[in-house]
Amino acid sequence: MADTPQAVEVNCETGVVTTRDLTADEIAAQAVAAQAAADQRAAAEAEAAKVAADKAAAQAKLAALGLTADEIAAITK
Amino acid sequence: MSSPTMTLITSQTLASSSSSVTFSSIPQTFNNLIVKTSVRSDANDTSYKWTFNGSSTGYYSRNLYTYVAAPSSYNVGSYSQSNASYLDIDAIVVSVYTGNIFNNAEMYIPNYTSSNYKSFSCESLAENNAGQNPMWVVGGLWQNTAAITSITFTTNGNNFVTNSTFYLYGISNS
Repeated sequence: MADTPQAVEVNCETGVVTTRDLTADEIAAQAVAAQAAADQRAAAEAEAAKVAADKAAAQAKLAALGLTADEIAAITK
Repeated sequence: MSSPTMTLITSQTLASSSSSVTFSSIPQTFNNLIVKTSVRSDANDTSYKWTFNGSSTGYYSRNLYTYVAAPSSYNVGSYSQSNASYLDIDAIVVSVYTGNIFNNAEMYIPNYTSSNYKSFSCESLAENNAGQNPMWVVGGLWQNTAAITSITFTTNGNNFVTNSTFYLYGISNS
């Protein structure tokens, strides 16, 4: 593996393939983007977990009111 | 009667690891594009980025996904991007997955030369004999009126491994 990250470009018109080292700015931009992607995914997963927890709590409360599992499923799907 | 055709424009199989691959100077003579990738990351990072024309704005997507969380247990969820700086495509095969396995992803881009915003759909999955096996379905829009002349695939600061492959096809309606 190369020490410096590489970029490959394929020119569709000429077929010429060019390989070059990433610039310092490109490497820095990758790091920023990686962190942003991780943050965004973590936020989405946290939101999904909260929705799942809220749903489970709501179903438990419905069960406590006397609804059957089938009745709960019918109104929560 | 029309005779639609699918033509391989170009392909690239990496001879050594690389952090990005670009298809440039895409011919403007087709109606639609199909992109196929089979890639693997050298890090434990499950996504890679797609951009059009080097643009860092205007990417919208809705992602539905599922993956194995435990034996006989699946996680299902959704994830969206709004005016993002790149298109985040998940389900890449990562370094901790079973060796010598690569992901499968395909994107369809209709009317890529038009002056309208560009819609696309994508399916991506990463097999792994040891679990996970994420599968993603993506629908989205690149909010830009320019014809698509280049497509770039970029890792999140790591590398696509050797033998990762990228294919670009052109679809003609007649």
